[in-house]
Amino acid sequence: MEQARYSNQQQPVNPQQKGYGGPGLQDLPKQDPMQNTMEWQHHGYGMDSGFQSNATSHAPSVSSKSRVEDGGGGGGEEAGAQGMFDWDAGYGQAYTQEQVDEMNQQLTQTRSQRVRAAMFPETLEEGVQIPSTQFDPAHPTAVQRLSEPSQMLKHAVVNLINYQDDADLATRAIPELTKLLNDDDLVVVNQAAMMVHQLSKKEASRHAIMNSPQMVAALVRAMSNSNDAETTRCAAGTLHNLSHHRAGLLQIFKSGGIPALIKLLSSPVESVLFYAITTLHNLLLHQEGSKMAVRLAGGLQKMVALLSRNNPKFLAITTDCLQILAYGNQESKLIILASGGPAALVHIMRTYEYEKLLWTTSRVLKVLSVCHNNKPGIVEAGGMSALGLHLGHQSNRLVQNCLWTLRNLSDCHRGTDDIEPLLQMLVQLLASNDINVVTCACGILSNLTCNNTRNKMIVSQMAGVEALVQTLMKAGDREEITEPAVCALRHVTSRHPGAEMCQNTVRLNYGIPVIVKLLHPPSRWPLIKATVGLIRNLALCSANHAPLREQGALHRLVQLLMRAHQDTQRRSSMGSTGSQGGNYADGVRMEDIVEGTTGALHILARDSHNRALIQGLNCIPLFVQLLYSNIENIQRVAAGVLSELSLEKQGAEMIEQEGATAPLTELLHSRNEGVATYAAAVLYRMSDDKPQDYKKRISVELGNSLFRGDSVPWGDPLDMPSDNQILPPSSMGGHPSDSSYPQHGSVHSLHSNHGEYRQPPPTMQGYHDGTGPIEPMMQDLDLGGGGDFGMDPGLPDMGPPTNDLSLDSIPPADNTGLAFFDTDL
Amino acid sequence: MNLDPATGVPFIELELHKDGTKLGFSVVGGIDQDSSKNPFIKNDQGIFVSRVAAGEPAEKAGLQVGDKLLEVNGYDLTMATHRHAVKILTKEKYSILKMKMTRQGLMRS
Repeated sequence: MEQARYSNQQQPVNPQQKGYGGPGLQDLPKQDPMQNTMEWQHHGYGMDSGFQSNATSHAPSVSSKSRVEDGGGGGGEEAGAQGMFDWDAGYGQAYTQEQVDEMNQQLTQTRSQRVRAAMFPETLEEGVQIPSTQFDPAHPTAVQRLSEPSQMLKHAVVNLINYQDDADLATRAIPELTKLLNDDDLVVVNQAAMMVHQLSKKEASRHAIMNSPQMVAALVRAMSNSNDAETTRCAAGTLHNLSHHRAGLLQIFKSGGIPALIKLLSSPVESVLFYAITTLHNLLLHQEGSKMAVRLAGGLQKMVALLSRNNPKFLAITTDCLQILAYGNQESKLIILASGGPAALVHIMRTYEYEKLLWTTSRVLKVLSVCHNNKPGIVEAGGMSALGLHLGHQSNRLVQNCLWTLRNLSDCHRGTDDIEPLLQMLVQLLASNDINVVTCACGILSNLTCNNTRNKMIVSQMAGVEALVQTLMKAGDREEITEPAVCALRHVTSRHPGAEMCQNTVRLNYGIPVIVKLLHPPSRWPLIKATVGLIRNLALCSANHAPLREQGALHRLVQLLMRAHQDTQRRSSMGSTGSQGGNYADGVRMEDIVEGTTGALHILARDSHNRALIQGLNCIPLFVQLLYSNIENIQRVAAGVLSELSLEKQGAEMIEQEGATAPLTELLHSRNEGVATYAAAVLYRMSDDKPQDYKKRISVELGNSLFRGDSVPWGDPLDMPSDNQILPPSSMGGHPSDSSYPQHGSVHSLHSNHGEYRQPPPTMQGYHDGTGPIEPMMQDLDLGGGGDFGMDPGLPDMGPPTNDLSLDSIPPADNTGLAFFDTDL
Repeated sequence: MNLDPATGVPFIELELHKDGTKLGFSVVGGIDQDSSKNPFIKNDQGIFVSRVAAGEPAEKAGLQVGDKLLEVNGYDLTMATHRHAVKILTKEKYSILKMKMTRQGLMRS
């Protein structure tokens, strides 16, 4: 019988033989508390199996017992059994047959105890010694190995029973508890809340709670109405437990839990605060409609206020909530701003080291950084240097988010906080192998060096030019890198004390061939435009003239000029809306290419070899034709290049033959001093072999036009426009989308060039290095108005459509980006 | 007269009984408006009453031009966008607006 029990008790361990479990368990002694339930549980299964019936009173012996135990367990006991035989054989003589029988007897008698010790240790009386059959400490016996799985199984069964109990109990108790929660007596409510909280910790009863809308509603009511902290805590804790299930979230949402939870965000009790924020977080993540509900209930203000707390994990959840709420929602961003969000977030970036918190905070900042109103707030709070602190962090996601945010902010930097370490870090990051990192670093450097003398100097002192040239070489055809890198180089090669050194550095680092190559396919127009500007700056250094010529830069510039000009002619003859919009290719206005290439040729023409080459390329007729352009900047560069070309007698003659005298004389009266100066210079040089009285008349004209203002030094015409930086209104440009990062695809009409290489492209200046008013349509590009090429105060303001305030009812914004108006009710 | 517990600002409470959907006043301001142009309190981003029509519910309730709305039916309006404020004020389900507001000179009176 004992043997049969042994075999049967093994059965539950083996799932395939489940059917046998029942009978075996029935053999347990009655004092086992589990027995009754086990019987109940297995009621209906075969009560007796053939196995059990068969295994009856087999005469036990040492050897047979071993075999039986082996049969159940496999290898483990084998060694032991074998050892036993050996032992038996070796020392057999020491024992009489009687002694051996007695030992067998003893082992047999204790067998059931061994089994019970392994499977139901709680049923053993304490202090009973059971002889072990284990011989080799390294190999547990089969029975011993059974111990763990059988315990696990037992727990599973117990859990199952309890689950059922919980579910039954909860279902019965819930209507009663719901009533108690609604009771007038606060003590009753408190007790009920505590019980519900306890129930909600168990899965079965939790389901019962969340399946009762009345219960959840009662909880929400108790939570918000009670003045008793304990009741509130229990109710909030219960909602927190429910919030791990979809059904629970839906029920909380439907029961108006969100306003109640938001109210709790002002609670002085830490645990209540935790329950509330985590529950809200779960709602925001998984329950549709929650975002709007949280916003309407004033959750943003409360959450921003909580940013001054000091528990990093709590802050991480709060910031994540803010991110979810602000993403793609302009109104939320404004509320965060009005509540002092930017400063609090920047403070977190400076203060904490918990990676997850830094990451979630950088994500909020990223979302805010595409909002024109928040941007200055973040920058003024020292956000750029704070974000810069983490660029060396080993967490890739943190670094990437910081970079994206920095890029969004970088066109807004006004030099209020110290960003020297940031610039240094960015130059270092240019050597990174991660394309995204390099792309962002180039973009940020480009924006930060735009119109900022100090940053230009810092970058050049930190070997930024060398690093940028290296980056260009490594980048190949990747325009997302080459374009901002070229722009950054364009910025550092002009208008700061170290500009000339930078122009030389580019050459000394073998940058010129790489740069000239970018004028050719597969480069697209935005990159070409930037490269033309850079070449123009490089040409300011006379040592670069020969290398540029040898690389074929002049030929290519003339080609591009011709092509762009033809394009403008063709389109305007087709009667496109022309005068205002201009002709765009990849978001670049062909007029800008005409202006840029002509401007570059103008500077290059300071070298006599280059002048000869340009003359030979037969483009003088085109330059003369450009004098008739209705774009002042084009007039200026055309007059400029002609003034250089007219230095050669042959050049002057060719210009005159093309009939330039009439338009040039006209331009003498231009209100643009640059245009007038150059026109005068050409006329003066053309008059060299003219009769004296003609020359005299020209001189008088020149005198009139040239010295009407502060006078422009003869021969140093307007290369270095004054640095009076006029920034366009912050409402301009605009990146409507928060998806910030690779916004490559998000080309919106005329802004396509923004989208292309720069993520939330700098709204105002972008890679633009211009001074003076920035040409509206092309704010971020240099060749446009002003910039290195001159000033154009006359262009009509044709800012791109703003898309920043998604507030339909709001009338056109004024130049602060904000209006002030009434609504009649 | 009461003092706002959070800010210490003195405030008054009014009840406006709507006449259909009609309120009979205009509001101006909000965190999304250019507060430098606020004629009542420069650089205040709150919601202000800018017009009160004679004989309409607002006048009957005692609203005055220049009143700053602090709260309406429990909704905070001190840090709200203009649109949000309008939305709250025009909610159809409210036939009565319980308004908490402050006006200049309240301290003295």
